[in-house]
Amino acid sequence: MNVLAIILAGGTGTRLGVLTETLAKPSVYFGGKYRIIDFALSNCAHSQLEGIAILPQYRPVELISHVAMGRPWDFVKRTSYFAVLPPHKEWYHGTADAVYQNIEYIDYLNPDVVIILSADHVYLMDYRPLLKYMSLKNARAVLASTTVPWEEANRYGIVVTDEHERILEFQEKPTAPKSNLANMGIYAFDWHYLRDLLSEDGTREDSSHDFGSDLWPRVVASGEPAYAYKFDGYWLDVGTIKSFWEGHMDLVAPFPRLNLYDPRWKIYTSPADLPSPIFLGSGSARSTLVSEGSVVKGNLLRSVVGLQSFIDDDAEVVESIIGPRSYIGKGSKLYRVITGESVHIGNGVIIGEGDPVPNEVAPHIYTDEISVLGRNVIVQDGSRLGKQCAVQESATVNGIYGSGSFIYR
Amino acid sequence: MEAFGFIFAHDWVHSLDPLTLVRPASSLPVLGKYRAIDFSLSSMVRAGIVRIGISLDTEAVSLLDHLRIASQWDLDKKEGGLFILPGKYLGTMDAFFRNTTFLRRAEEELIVVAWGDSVYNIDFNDVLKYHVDKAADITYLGDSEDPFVFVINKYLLMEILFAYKDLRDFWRDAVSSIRSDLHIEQFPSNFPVYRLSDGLNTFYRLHMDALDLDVYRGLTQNMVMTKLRDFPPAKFSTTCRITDSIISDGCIIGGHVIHSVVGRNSVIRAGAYVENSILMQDVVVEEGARLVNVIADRYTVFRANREVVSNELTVIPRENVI
Repeated sequence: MNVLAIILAGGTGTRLGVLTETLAKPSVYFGGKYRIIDFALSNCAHSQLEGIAILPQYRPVELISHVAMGRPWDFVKRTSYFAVLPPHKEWYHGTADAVYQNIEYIDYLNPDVVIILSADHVYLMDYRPLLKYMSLKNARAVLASTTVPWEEANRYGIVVTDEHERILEFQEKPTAPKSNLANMGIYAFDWHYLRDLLSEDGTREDSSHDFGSDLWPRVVASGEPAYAYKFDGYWLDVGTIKSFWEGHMDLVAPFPRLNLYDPRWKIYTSPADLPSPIFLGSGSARSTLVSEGSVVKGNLLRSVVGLQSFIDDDAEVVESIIGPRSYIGKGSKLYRVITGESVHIGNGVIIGEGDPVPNEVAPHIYTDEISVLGRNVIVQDGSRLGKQCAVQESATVNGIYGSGSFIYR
Repeated sequence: MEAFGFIFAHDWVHSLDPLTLVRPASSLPVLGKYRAIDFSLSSMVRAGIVRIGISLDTEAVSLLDHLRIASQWDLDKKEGGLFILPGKYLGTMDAFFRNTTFLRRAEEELIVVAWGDSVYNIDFNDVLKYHVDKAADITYLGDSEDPFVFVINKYLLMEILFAYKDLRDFWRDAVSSIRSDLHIEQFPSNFPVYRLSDGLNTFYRLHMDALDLDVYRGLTQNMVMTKLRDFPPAKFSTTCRITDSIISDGCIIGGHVIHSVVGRNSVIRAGAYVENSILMQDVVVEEGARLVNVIADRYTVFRANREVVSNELTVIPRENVI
């Protein structure tokens, strides 16, 4: 069977606030050395899918240079079916439109089945059982689903199925969910069937050209037997600052639900060619991940340190995520801080003190006592920031800012 | 500066046995994630040298495996690239002589000759520039009797080869005998160089020196490329204590590590104690084990509560269970 994986990588990630100011969500660093898209790409590699098309849109440059020719994932072949396809006709209007605009390319490959994936999710998944499920059900359309806690079901696209797992109904972020089965945004379609759906959708004025809200409801309404495959592994939609932070706290747990140490399912990323991390003096790290190229002189607790970062003497970093090439100065204290890359925090800085106050600009984004610093931010010696603060990319922080502050460039 | 490279990756002396019983010194795991040869190879690649021959013993399986994917040094080229030159060579003269085809076919005239057992980090462009500026016949780095790198015009190299083909060593035998006829320059430098074939003490000293940040950075700056193993970042659990140590990717550390280098994908469990030691890749130290002054080769397992404590260095060969 000829399978083409289409990875939707256009996400702006607005709910990641200052982390995605000039970076597409799939390019955001995750787990110290990875970028979010590495998970979907590595899953494709391990699932032995050979046809891969990545559809970026928002801020594509860094993403394109990261995936390059796909070599880290072994996609380089003499006859390569690996392609990065940014918008070349007009801006993609929705997930379905992104695929629709590339019909020419897909027709050229003429796959039997197309798998639609999102570049925004952190999970380890073999797509082959999904494909097998599709042929066992003799279906033209299947999606992958996962059970979520009932109390969180209102945050997801919910799938309602019958006892044969046939999809009966979709509920988008329902206030009264009829099921706790969430749509993972992973779809497998018979290509000719999907092609017809897309062509029809493309002419509709009333469509937002989205798989979740337009195509799937119409598939179900048409009486087409479509099924929900159940995936029971770890799956994280890195949608919000909170879920981004929680995903990292999952990694530093004693027995992480997301196992990056499985030798059969390594996550591949573009090589950084950096030396192993070095610990000097009284530096310590507990329940912490430290990436290559880093120097640790200070103390880390339940944190993740990115590539080539420097934690200087007596710094104390707690429940924080330090982006690559960042510097944490002498004696600085960080509690629940997320930094983008190349952030410079001077000496004697305190971030994350005081009572949590809603963020003055985006209280729904900066929650759970987490302060977020965009990339290239400079925090000058002795400055202080409270909880749930946000600092825009390349801004300089000098002085004392209470909880909930939003600091502009 | 147009030049090509030639790396000797033989081990005619096996001076680090038992570590060199299973591999040449060029293939010794160093600084947690590298092989010794990565340093000469990466220095060449960074200087824009894209045609590199590596002469090695036909049985150097470990090294062949390490070099298997040339793209990791950007040496998967249509023109040039990585040339593996295996043989049962008697010495450097023999290794050159049996590979004159490689020398002859190279488009570049200058050749940088290096020994893969040497760990250093330099810009070969500076050396090549010095060689040309001085209009030297040969420019070398290191000991005048036993350099670890030299630059020579390939036609001069071949003349010496054919004129002295019965001699064993290119430098000690051939070049030394015609020294007065040649313009030989020593490249002035003061960066640290560790020739691992000098023995276990040099190997150990390299690792202990590297626990100084300046030395470590000097040796690993500007990208030292190596075979990727795609491990996640090192993980430190709640019970660990780390002092002055290098801990590589893929490691899970629960014990106490002092003044040591721990290689990729190693596990040190809670209650274990590791001091002044070098653990190569894939080593396991179980609960309560104590290691002082140990060099443990790959895949060594230290069972719970075992002690290997000594004032002298103890070397544990590969795949042993202690």
